[in-house]
Amino acid sequence: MQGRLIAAAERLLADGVTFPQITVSRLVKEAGITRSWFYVHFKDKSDVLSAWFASIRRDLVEVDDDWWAIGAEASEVDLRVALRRITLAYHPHNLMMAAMYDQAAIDASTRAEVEEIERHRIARLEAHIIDGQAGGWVDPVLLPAETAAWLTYTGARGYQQMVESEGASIDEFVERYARHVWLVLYEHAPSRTGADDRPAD
Amino acid sequence: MADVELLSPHGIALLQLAHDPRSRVQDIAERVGLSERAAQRLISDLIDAGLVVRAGSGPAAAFDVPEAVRARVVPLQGLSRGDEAGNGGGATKRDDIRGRLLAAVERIIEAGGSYAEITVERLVVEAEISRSTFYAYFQDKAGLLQALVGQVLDEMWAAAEAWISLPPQADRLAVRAAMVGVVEAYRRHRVVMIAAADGAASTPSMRSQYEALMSLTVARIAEHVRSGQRAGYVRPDIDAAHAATLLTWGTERGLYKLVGSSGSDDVARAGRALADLVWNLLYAGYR
Repeated sequence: MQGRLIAAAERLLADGVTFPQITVSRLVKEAGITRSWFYVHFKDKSDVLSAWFASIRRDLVEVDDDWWAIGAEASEVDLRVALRRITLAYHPHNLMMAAMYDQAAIDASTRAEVEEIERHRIARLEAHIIDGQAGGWVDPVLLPAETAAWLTYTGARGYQQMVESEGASIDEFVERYARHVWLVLYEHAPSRTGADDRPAD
Repeated sequence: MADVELLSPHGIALLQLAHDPRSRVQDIAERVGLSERAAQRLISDLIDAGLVVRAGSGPAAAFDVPEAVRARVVPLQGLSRGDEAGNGGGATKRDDIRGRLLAAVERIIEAGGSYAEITVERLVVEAEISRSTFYAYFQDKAGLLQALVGQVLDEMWAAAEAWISLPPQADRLAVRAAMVGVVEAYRRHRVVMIAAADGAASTPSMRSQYEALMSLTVARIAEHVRSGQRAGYVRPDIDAAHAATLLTWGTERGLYKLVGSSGSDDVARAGRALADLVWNLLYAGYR
Protein backbone atom coordinates (compact mmCIF):
# COMPACT_ATOMS: atom_id res chain seq x y z
CA MET A 1 0.00 0.00 0.00
CA GLN A 2 2.79 2.37 0.86
CA GLY A 3 4.35 1.38 -2.45
CA ARG A 4 1.22 2.48 -4.25
CA LEU A 5 1.29 5.81 -2.45
CA ILE A 6 4.91 6.41 -3.39
CA ALA A 7 4.30 5.36 -6.98
CA ALA A 8 1.31 7.72 -7.10
CA ALA A 9 3.36 10.57 -5.65
CA GLU A 10 6.10 9.95 -8.20
CA ARG A 11 3.61 10.00 -11.07
CA LEU A 12 2.22 13.34 -9.91
CA LEU A 13 5.70 14.76 -9.32
CA ALA A 14 6.83 13.64 -12.76
CA ASP A 15 3.96 15.70 -14.17
CA GLY A 16 5.58 18.80 -12.73
CA VAL A 17 3.44 19.31 -9.66
CA THR A 18 5.45 20.16 -6.56
CA PHE A 19 5.01 18.02 -3.47
CA PRO A 20 3.65 20.92 -1.39
CA GLN A 21 0.95 21.35 -4.05
CA ILE A 22 -0.23 17.73 -3.92
CA THR A 23 -3.22 17.38 -1.61
CA VAL A 24 -3.87 14.23 0.39
CA SER A 25 -7.13 13.84 -1.52
CA ARG A 26 -5.36 13.91 -4.85
CA LEU A 27 -2.66 11.58 -3.65
CA VAL A 28 -5.00 8.90 -2.34
CA LYS A 29 -7.16 9.18 -5.43
CA GLU A 30 -4.14 8.66 -7.67
CA ALA A 31 -3.03 5.75 -5.51
CA GLY A 32 -6.48 4.17 -5.48
CA ILE A 33 -6.69 4.00 -1.71
CA THR A 34 -9.16 5.50 0.75
CA ARG A 35 -8.58 8.59 2.86
CA SER A 36 -9.45 6.61 5.95
CA TRP A 37 -6.74 4.06 5.19
CA PHE A 38 -4.32 6.91 4.69
CA TYR A 39 -5.09 8.53 8.03
CA VAL A 40 -4.85 5.24 9.87
CA HIS A 41 -1.25 4.89 8.72
CA PHE A 42 0.00 8.46 8.26
CA LYS A 43 -0.46 11.67 10.16
CA ASP A 44 0.00 13.83 7.07
CA LYS A 45 1.92 14.12 3.79
CA SER A 46 5.23 14.76 5.56
CA ASP A 47 4.79 11.45 7.32
CA VAL A 48 4.72 9.74 3.94
CA LEU A 49 8.07 11.31 3.08
CA SER A 50 9.55 10.17 6.41
CA ALA A 51 8.36 6.64 5.93
CA TRP A 52 9.67 6.58 2.39
CA PHE A 53 13.09 7.86 3.46
CA ALA A 54 13.31 5.30 6.25
CA SER A 55 12.65 2.57 3.70
CA ILE A 56 15.43 3.60 1.31
CA ARG A 57 17.90 4.62 3.96
CA ARG A 58 19.49 1.20 3.95
CA ASP A 59 20.34 1.61 0.24
CA LEU A 60 22.18 4.81 0.93
CA VAL A 61 23.70 4.59 4.36
CA GLU A 62 27.11 3.26 3.44
CA VAL A 63 27.26 4.35 -0.18
CA ASP A 64 29.12 7.60 0.53
CA ASP A 65 31.94 5.47 1.90
CA ASP A 66 33.12 5.05 -1.67
CA TRP A 67 34.28 8.65 -1.54
CA TRP A 68 36.07 8.26 1.73
CA ALA A 69 38.14 5.47 0.25
CA ILE A 70 39.84 8.11 -1.91
CA GLY A 71 43.25 8.64 -0.42
CA ALA A 72 46.77 9.68 -1.16
CA GLU A 73 47.16 7.43 -4.20
CA ALA A 74 43.87 8.28 -5.87
CA SER A 75 43.52 10.07 -9.18
CA GLU A 76 40.71 12.21 -10.53
CA VAL A 77 39.44 9.15 -12.37
CA ASP A 78 39.19 7.24 -9.09
CA LEU A 79 37.20 10.11 -7.64
CA ARG A 80 34.91 10.09 -10.64
CA VAL A 81 34.28 6.36 -10.26
CA ALA A 82 33.45 6.82 -6.57
CA LEU A 83 31.11 9.75 -7.20
CA ARG A 84 29.41 7.87 -10.02
CA ARG A 85 28.60 4.97 -7.73
CA ILE A 86 27.18 7.37 -5.14
CA THR A 87 25.13 9.31 -7.69
CA LEU A 88 23.71 6.11 -9.18
CA ALA A 89 22.65 4.95 -5.74
CA TYR A 90 20.69 8.16 -5.19
CA HIS A 91 19.37 8.50 -8.72
CA PRO A 92 16.32 6.18 -8.57
CA HIS A 93 15.09 8.25 -5.66
CA ASN A 94 15.51 11.66 -7.21
CA LEU A 95 11.82 12.59 -7.50
CA MET A 96 11.11 11.86 -3.87
CA MET A 97 14.35 13.48 -2.69
CA ALA A 98 13.34 16.64 -4.54
CA ALA A 99 9.92 16.31 -2.92
CA MET A 100 11.57 16.20 0.49
CA TYR A 101 13.55 19.36 -0.25
CA ASP A 102 10.45 21.16 -1.47
CA GLN A 103 8.36 20.06 1.47
CA ALA A 104 11.16 21.06 3.86
CA ALA A 105 10.65 24.67 2.75
CA ILE A 106 7.19 24.71 4.32
CA ASP A 107 7.14 21.93 6.88
CA ALA A 108 9.25 22.00 10.02
CA SER A 109 9.39 18.26 10.62
CA THR A 110 10.50 17.50 7.06
CA ARG A 111 13.02 20.32 7.27
CA ALA A 112 14.46 18.82 10.47
CA GLU A 113 14.76 15.45 8.79
CA VAL A 114 16.45 16.83 5.66
CA GLU A 115 18.84 18.81 7.83
CA GLU A 116 19.75 15.73 9.81
CA ILE A 117 20.52 13.83 6.62
CA GLU A 118 22.62 16.70 5.32
CA ARG A 119 24.46 17.22 8.61
CA HIS A 120 25.40 13.56 8.60
CA ARG A 121 26.81 13.66 5.06
CA ILE A 122 28.63 16.93 5.70
CA ALA A 123 30.17 15.62 8.91
CA ARG A 124 31.58 12.62 7.08
CA LEU A 125 33.03 14.72 4.30
CA GLU A 126 34.50 17.02 6.93
CA ALA A 127 36.21 14.05 8.60
CA HIS A 128 37.56 12.99 5.19
CA ILE A 129 38.98 16.46 4.59
CA ILE A 130 40.65 16.51 8.01
CA ASP A 131 42.19 13.06 7.33
CA GLY A 132 43.41 14.22 3.97
CA GLN A 133 44.93 17.39 5.36
CA ALA A 134 46.78 15.37 7.98
CA GLY A 135 47.96 13.01 5.25
CA GLY A 136 49.02 15.83 2.91
CA TRP A 137 46.65 14.90 0.08
CA VAL A 138 43.97 17.55 0.72
CA ASP A 139 44.77 21.28 0.59
CA PRO A 140 45.50 22.29 4.22
CA VAL A 141 44.32 25.87 3.71
CA LEU A 142 40.68 24.80 3.52
CA LEU A 143 38.35 25.11 6.52
CA PRO A 144 37.08 21.52 6.81
CA ALA A 145 33.55 22.04 8.13
CA GLU A 146 32.58 24.95 5.88
CA THR A 147 34.24 23.46 2.80
CA ALA A 148 32.44 20.16 3.41
CA ALA A 149 29.18 22.06 3.61
CA TRP A 150 29.74 24.05 0.40
CA LEU A 151 30.73 20.90 -1.52
CA THR A 152 27.84 18.81 -0.22
CA TYR A 153 25.29 21.45 -1.15
CA THR A 154 26.96 21.84 -4.53
CA GLY A 155 26.64 18.13 -5.24
CA ALA A 156 22.97 17.90 -4.30
CA ARG A 157 21.89 21.13 -5.94
CA GLY A 158 24.18 20.64 -8.92
CA TYR A 159 22.66 17.24 -9.58
CA GLN A 160 19.16 18.68 -9.39
CA GLN A 161 20.03 21.48 -11.77
CA MET A 162 22.15 19.64 -14.31
CA VAL A 163 20.38 16.30 -14.48
CA GLU A 164 16.80 17.19 -13.60
CA SER A 165 16.45 20.71 -14.95
CA GLU A 166 18.95 20.77 -17.79
CA GLY A 167 18.73 17.13 -18.90
CA ALA A 168 22.40 16.26 -18.53
CA SER A 169 23.22 12.58 -18.21
CA ILE A 170 24.42 11.19 -14.92
CA ASP A 171 27.88 10.61 -16.39
CA GLU A 172 28.05 14.23 -17.53
CA PHE A 173 27.06 15.47 -14.08
CA VAL A 174 29.54 13.14 -12.38
CA GLU A 175 32.39 14.23 -14.63
CA ARG A 176 31.71 17.92 -13.93
CA TYR A 177 31.21 17.51 -10.20
CA ALA A 178 34.29 15.29 -9.89
CA ARG A 179 36.35 17.96 -11.65
CA HIS A 180 35.00 20.56 -9.25
CA VAL A 181 35.75 18.50 -6.15
CA TRP A 182 39.13 17.39 -7.46
CA LEU A 183 40.32 20.93 -8.04
CA VAL A 184 38.97 22.21 -4.74
CA LEU A 185 40.25 19.45 -2.42
CA TYR A 186 43.06 17.47 -4.00
CA GLU A 187 44.74 19.22 -6.93
CA HIS A 188 46.54 21.76 -4.78
CA ALA A 189 47.48 19.48 -1.90
CA PRO A 190 51.15 19.42 -0.87
CA SER A 191 51.56 15.79 -1.92
CA ARG A 192 50.72 16.81 -5.47
CA THR A 193 52.21 20.25 -5.74
CA GLY A 194 55.20 19.44 -3.57
CA ALA A 195 54.60 22.83 -1.98
CA ASP A 196 55.45 23.30 1.66
CA ASP A 197 54.75 26.98 1.98
CA ARG A 198 51.14 28.03 2.13
CA PRO A 199 49.85 31.61 2.20
CA ALA A 200 49.79 33.13 5.64
CA ASP A 201 46.42 33.71 7.22
CA MET B 1 36.33 25.23 -26.34
CA ALA B 2 32.61 25.10 -26.89
CA ASP B 3 30.89 28.46 -26.57
CA VAL B 4 27.78 27.88 -24.55
CA GLU B 5 25.37 30.77 -24.62
CA LEU B 6 22.83 30.71 -21.86
CA LEU B 7 21.24 33.91 -23.14
CA SER B 8 21.32 34.84 -26.81
CA PRO B 9 22.22 38.39 -27.85
CA HIS B 10 18.55 38.81 -28.78
CA GLY B 11 17.57 37.76 -25.27
CA ILE B 12 19.98 40.15 -23.64
CA ALA B 13 18.81 43.00 -25.90
CA LEU B 14 15.19 42.28 -25.06
CA LEU B 15 15.93 42.25 -21.35
CA GLN B 16 17.72 45.57 -21.62
CA LEU B 17 14.79 47.15 -23.45
CA ALA B 18 12.24 45.75 -21.01
CA HIS B 19 14.30 47.20 -18.22
CA ASP B 20 14.76 50.59 -19.84
CA PRO B 21 12.77 51.44 -22.98
CA ARG B 22 14.89 54.54 -23.42
CA SER B 23 18.00 52.43 -24.00
CA ARG B 24 19.92 53.66 -26.98
CA VAL B 25 21.36 51.40 -29.64
CA GLN B 26 24.73 52.21 -28.12
CA ASP B 27 23.59 50.87 -24.72
CA ILE B 28 22.37 47.66 -26.30
CA ALA B 29 25.62 47.30 -28.20
CA GLU B 30 27.63 47.66 -25.02
CA ARG B 31 25.42 45.29 -23.09
CA VAL B 32 25.61 42.59 -25.72
CA GLY B 33 29.25 43.18 -26.56
CA LEU B 34 28.72 43.81 -30.26
CA SER B 35 29.01 46.75 -32.67
CA GLU B 36 26.24 49.35 -32.92
CA ARG B 37 25.41 48.06 -36.35
CA ALA B 38 24.97 44.53 -35.03
CA ALA B 39 22.87 45.86 -32.17
CA GLN B 40 20.69 47.73 -34.66
CA ARG B 41 20.15 44.43 -36.48
CA LEU B 42 19.19 42.72 -33.22
CA ILE B 43 16.60 45.40 -32.50
CA SER B 44 15.19 45.12 -36.04
CA ASP B 45 14.91 41.36 -35.56
CA LEU B 46 13.03 41.85 -32.31
CA ILE B 47 10.68 44.35 -33.97
CA ASP B 48 10.07 41.94 -36.87
CA ALA B 49 9.29 39.22 -34.34
CA GLY B 50 6.74 41.47 -32.69
CA LEU B 51 8.59 41.44 -29.39
CA VAL B 52 9.48 45.13 -29.50
CA VAL B 53 7.63 48.12 -30.91
CA ARG B 54 9.23 51.38 -31.94
CA ALA B 55 7.51 54.24 -30.15
CA GLY B 56 8.05 57.68 -31.64
CA SER B 57 10.81 58.52 -34.03
CA GLY B 58 14.07 60.38 -34.26
CA PRO B 59 16.27 61.02 -31.22
CA ALA B 60 13.36 60.74 -28.79
CA ALA B 61 12.38 57.28 -30.04
CA ALA B 62 11.95 54.63 -27.43
CA PHE B 63 11.44 50.92 -27.85
CA ASP B 64 8.36 49.61 -26.20
CA VAL B 65 8.05 46.05 -25.00
CA PRO B 66 4.36 45.01 -25.20
CA GLU B 67 2.67 43.84 -22.00
CA ALA B 68 2.34 40.21 -23.05
CA VAL B 69 6.07 40.02 -23.76
CA ARG B 70 6.88 42.02 -20.66
CA ALA B 71 5.04 39.47 -18.52
CA ARG B 72 7.50 36.85 -19.71
CA VAL B 73 10.55 38.94 -18.89
CA VAL B 74 9.23 40.78 -15.82
CA PRO B 75 10.99 38.46 -13.33
CA LEU B 76 14.27 39.64 -14.72
CA GLN B 77 13.58 43.35 -14.41
CA GLY B 78 14.85 43.57 -10.86
CA LEU B 79 18.29 42.81 -12.17
CA SER B 80 19.90 46.05 -13.19
CA ARG B 81 23.32 44.43 -13.67
CA GLY B 82 25.05 46.64 -11.16
CA ASP B 83 23.22 49.87 -11.82
CA GLU B 84 25.84 51.96 -13.62
CA ALA B 85 26.53 55.38 -12.16
CA GLY B 86 24.15 57.95 -13.53
CA ASN B 87 21.37 55.52 -14.36
CA GLY B 88 18.14 57.27 -13.44
CA GLY B 89 19.84 59.90 -11.32
CA GLY B 90 18.62 58.93 -7.86
CA ALA B 91 15.82 56.95 -6.28
CA THR B 92 12.37 57.16 -7.79
CA LYS B 93 9.25 57.31 -5.64
CA ARG B 94 8.64 53.63 -6.34
CA ASP B 95 12.15 52.79 -5.15
CA ASP B 96 11.53 54.77 -1.99
CA ILE B 97 8.24 53.00 -1.24
CA ARG B 98 9.82 49.68 -2.06
CA GLY B 99 12.75 50.43 0.27
CA ARG B 100 10.39 51.20 3.13
CA LEU B 101 8.41 48.05 2.51
CA LEU B 102 11.59 46.01 2.42
CA ALA B 103 12.63 47.39 5.79
CA ALA B 104 9.13 46.72 7.12
CA VAL B 105 9.13 43.13 5.89
CA GLU B 106 12.52 42.50 7.43
CA ARG B 107 11.52 44.01 10.78
CA ILE B 108 8.29 42.03 10.95
CA ILE B 109 9.99 38.76 10.09
CA GLU B 110 12.89 39.37 12.50
CA ALA B 111 10.27 39.64 15.20
CA GLY B 112 9.02 36.18 14.26
CA GLY B 113 6.77 34.83 11.54
CA SER B 114 7.05 34.11 7.86
CA TYR B 115 6.41 36.09 4.74
CA ALA B 116 3.41 33.89 4.03
CA GLU B 117 1.75 35.07 7.24
CA ILE B 118 2.20 38.80 6.73
CA THR B 119 -0.86 40.77 5.64
CA VAL B 120 -0.82 43.87 3.45
CA GLU B 121 -2.62 45.69 6.26
CA ARG B 122 0.19 45.04 8.68
CA LEU B 123 2.81 45.90 6.09
CA VAL B 124 1.42 49.35 5.27
CA VAL B 125 1.15 50.21 8.94
CA GLU B 126 4.74 49.14 9.55
CA ALA B 127 5.98 50.96 6.46
CA GLU B 128 3.91 54.04 7.25
CA ILE B 129 2.27 54.28 3.86
CA SER B 130 -1.38 54.15 2.87
CA ARG B 131 -3.08 51.12 1.39
CA SER B 132 -3.83 53.05 -1.77
CA THR B 133 -0.17 53.92 -2.15
CA PHE B 134 0.73 50.27 -1.78
CA TYR B 135 -1.77 49.19 -4.41
CA ALA B 136 -0.69 51.97 -6.74
CA TYR B 137 2.69 50.29 -7.04
CA PHE B 138 2.10 46.63 -6.29
CA GLN B 139 -0.71 44.37 -7.34
CA ASP B 140 -0.52 42.21 -4.22
CA LYS B 141 1.86 40.63 -1.74
CA ALA B 142 3.29 38.33 -4.40
CA GLY B 143 3.97 41.32 -6.61
CA LEU B 144 5.69 43.04 -3.71
CA LEU B 145 7.87 39.99 -3.04
CA GLN B 146 8.93 40.00 -6.66
CA ALA B 147 9.93 43.67 -6.40
CA LEU B 148 11.73 43.13 -3.10
CA VAL B 149 13.60 40.18 -4.55
CA GLY B 150 14.61 42.45 -7.42
CA GLN B 151 15.99 45.06 -5.05
CA VAL B 152 17.81 42.55 -2.88
CA LEU B 153 19.24 40.80 -5.91
CA ASP B 154 20.61 44.13 -7.15
CA GLU B 155 22.63 44.23 -3.96
CA MET B 156 23.69 40.61 -4.29
CA TRP B 157 24.63 41.32 -7.86
CA ALA B 158 26.75 44.31 -6.78
CA ALA B 159 28.47 42.12 -4.18
CA ALA B 160 29.22 39.47 -6.81
CA GLU B 161 30.49 42.16 -9.17
CA ALA B 162 32.94 43.23 -6.47
CA TRP B 163 34.46 39.77 -6.82
CA ILE B 164 34.19 39.50 -10.59
CA SER B 165 35.65 42.92 -11.27
CA LEU B 166 38.76 42.39 -9.13
CA PRO B 167 41.86 43.21 -11.18
CA PRO B 168 43.63 40.19 -12.71
CA GLN B 169 46.50 40.42 -10.25
CA ALA B 170 44.22 40.37 -7.18
CA ASP B 171 45.33 37.86 -4.61
CA ARG B 172 43.58 35.29 -2.44
CA LEU B 173 42.99 37.81 0.34
CA ALA B 174 41.15 40.12 -2.04
CA VAL B 175 38.95 37.24 -3.20
CA ARG B 176 38.27 36.36 0.44
CA ALA B 177 37.21 39.91 1.21
CA ALA B 178 34.91 39.93 -1.82
CA MET B 179 33.29 36.61 -0.89
CA VAL B 180 32.71 37.73 2.68
CA GLY B 181 30.92 40.67 1.07
CA VAL B 182 28.68 38.30 -0.86
CA VAL B 183 27.83 36.27 2.22
CA GLU B 184 27.19 39.44 4.22
CA ALA B 185 24.89 40.82 1.53
CA TYR B 186 22.88 37.61 1.62
CA ARG B 187 22.75 37.65 5.40
CA ARG B 188 21.59 41.27 5.47
CA HIS B 189 18.62 40.35 3.30
CA ARG B 190 18.17 36.72 4.26
CA VAL B 191 14.51 37.29 5.01
CA VAL B 192 13.64 38.11 1.41
CA MET B 193 16.17 35.69 -0.11
CA ILE B 194 14.76 32.82 1.93
CA ALA B 195 11.17 33.84 1.14
CA ALA B 196 12.09 33.86 -2.55
CA ALA B 197 13.77 30.46 -2.40
CA ASP B 198 10.87 28.99 -0.41
CA GLY B 199 8.39 30.48 -2.86
CA ALA B 200 10.33 28.94 -5.71
CA ALA B 201 10.23 25.56 -3.97
CA SER B 202 6.49 25.56 -3.49
CA THR B 203 5.11 27.38 -6.51
CA PRO B 204 5.97 26.49 -10.12
CA SER B 205 5.44 30.03 -11.42
CA MET B 206 7.83 31.47 -8.86
CA ARG B 207 10.23 28.66 -9.59
CA SER B 208 10.58 29.63 -13.24
CA GLN B 209 11.11 33.26 -12.30
CA TYR B 210 13.75 32.28 -9.78
CA GLU B 211 15.46 30.02 -12.27
CA ALA B 212 15.54 32.79 -14.86
CA LEU B 213 17.34 35.02 -12.38
CA MET B 214 19.75 32.24 -11.57
CA SER B 215 20.44 31.71 -15.29
CA LEU B 216 21.54 35.31 -15.61
CA THR B 217 23.91 34.90 -12.68
CA VAL B 218 25.35 31.69 -14.10
CA ALA B 219 25.86 33.46 -17.44
CA ARG B 220 27.66 36.34 -15.77
CA ILE B 221 29.99 34.06 -13.86
CA ALA B 222 30.68 31.96 -16.96
CA GLU B 223 31.57 35.20 -18.74
CA HIS B 224 34.04 35.99 -15.94
CA VAL B 225 35.64 32.56 -16.21
CA ARG B 226 36.02 32.85 -19.98
CA SER B 227 37.51 36.30 -19.92
CA GLY B 228 39.85 35.22 -17.12
CA GLN B 229 40.92 32.26 -19.24
CA ARG B 230 41.61 34.55 -22.19
CA ALA B 231 43.59 36.88 -19.96
CA GLY B 232 45.47 34.01 -18.32
CA TYR B 233 44.41 34.33 -14.68
CA VAL B 234 41.85 31.52 -14.74
CA ARG B 235 42.94 27.96 -15.47
CA PRO B 236 42.28 27.02 -19.10
CA ASP B 237 41.34 23.38 -18.51
CA ILE B 238 37.89 23.87 -17.01
CA ASP B 239 34.59 24.38 -18.76
CA ALA B 240 33.28 27.85 -17.95
CA ALA B 241 29.56 27.03 -18.16
CA HIS B 242 29.77 23.92 -15.99
CA ALA B 243 32.00 25.57 -13.39
CA ALA B 244 29.63 28.55 -13.28
CA THR B 245 26.57 26.30 -12.90
CA LEU B 246 28.03 24.35 -9.99
CA LEU B 247 29.39 27.46 -8.32
CA THR B 248 26.19 29.47 -8.64
CA TRP B 249 23.73 26.79 -7.59
CA GLY B 250 26.01 25.41 -4.90
CA THR B 251 26.45 28.88 -3.46
CA GLU B 252 22.71 29.54 -3.62
CA ARG B 253 21.91 26.40 -1.67
CA GLY B 254 24.84 26.94 0.71
CA LEU B 255 23.85 30.52 1.48
CA TYR B 256 20.28 29.43 2.14
CA LYS B 257 21.44 26.78 4.57
CA LEU B 258 24.46 28.37 6.20
CA VAL B 259 23.40 31.94 6.61
CA GLY B 260 19.99 31.54 8.26
CA SER B 261 20.73 32.66 11.75
CA SER B 262 24.48 32.68 11.83
CA GLY B 263 26.51 35.27 13.64
CA SER B 264 29.20 37.41 12.06
CA ASP B 265 31.94 34.87 12.84
CA ASP B 266 30.11 32.26 10.84
CA VAL B 267 29.72 34.72 7.99
CA ALA B 268 33.46 35.31 7.97
CA ARG B 269 34.25 31.60 7.97
CA ALA B 270 31.65 30.74 5.34
CA GLY B 271 32.92 33.57 3.11
CA ARG B 272 36.52 32.56 3.55
CA ALA B 273 35.81 28.91 2.79
CA LEU B 274 33.87 29.92 -0.31
CA ALA B 275 36.74 32.13 -1.46
CA ASP B 276 39.32 29.37 -0.96
CA LEU B 277 37.08 26.97 -2.85
CA VAL B 278 36.76 29.42 -5.75
CA TRP B 279 40.49 30.11 -5.60
CA ASN B 280 41.35 26.44 -6.00
CA LEU B 281 38.74 25.93 -8.67
CA LEU B 282 39.62 28.87 -10.89
CA TYR B 283 42.78 30.75 -10.04
CA ALA B 284 45.35 28.71 -8.10
CA GLY B 285 48.58 28.61 -10.01
CA TYR B 286 47.37 31.25 -12.48
CA ARG B 287 46.44 34.40 -10.62
